[in-house]
Amino acid sequence: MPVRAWVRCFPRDISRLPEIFHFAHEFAEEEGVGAGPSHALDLVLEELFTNFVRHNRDGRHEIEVGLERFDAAVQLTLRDFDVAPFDPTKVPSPDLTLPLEAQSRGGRGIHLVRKLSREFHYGHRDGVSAITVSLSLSPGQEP
Amino acid sequence: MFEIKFGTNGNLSLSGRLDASHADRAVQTLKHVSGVVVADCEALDYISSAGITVILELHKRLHGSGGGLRLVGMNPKIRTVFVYTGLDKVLNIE
Repeated sequence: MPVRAWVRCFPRDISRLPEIFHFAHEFAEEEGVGAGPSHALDLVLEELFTNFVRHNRDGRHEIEVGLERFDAAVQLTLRDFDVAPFDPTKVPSPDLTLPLEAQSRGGRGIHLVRKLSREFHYGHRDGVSAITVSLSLSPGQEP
Repeated sequence: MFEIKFGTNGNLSLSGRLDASHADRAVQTLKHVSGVVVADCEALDYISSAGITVILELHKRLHGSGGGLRLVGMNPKIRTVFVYTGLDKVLNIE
């Protein structure tokens, strides 16, 4: 069980990313999360936050970021309120075997999330989109 | 904070965090870079997919006009992001 859930809301503006990183670094320091998982946390937070901002352009509410430390994992949850469904777990990864010119421009961020995460789930209920990602704290499993 | 410094030989030095909030400014700053360019990444602390796209577009433009881009001095964290996105096989990384 986590000792404490860290939850904060951020304006849906990509220029506010440094504030999200600051929040994540505060969490990592207080909860004893190492440099490797903390780096993975930054990457996943950025990719998912920017994904919510770009795919729900009509969204009017702030995006909620929740972080929890468990024994062997960090769980992060992003919630976007009053929005249409958009499931990032269904976004195909780019075909990395194709020549660069033939690869699609999109999908690299979500591909990165898949590579970094132990679990990656999406749900939509009553107008709320929620993404939950679990990151391993085990040595050797972080970037 | 993200910064691009230009050397007298036309080479670049990247430092700080190249994330989505700095990507547009980086594209503007790199718009006039041409020829064969070495980008020193030793002081680069963080790069996301948005930052990778900036590098990738620069690589394509330089490569397409007969030049090229060489990335040097990456720390392991930064290199891992290029490996995970499959671009370590495409870009010239030393």
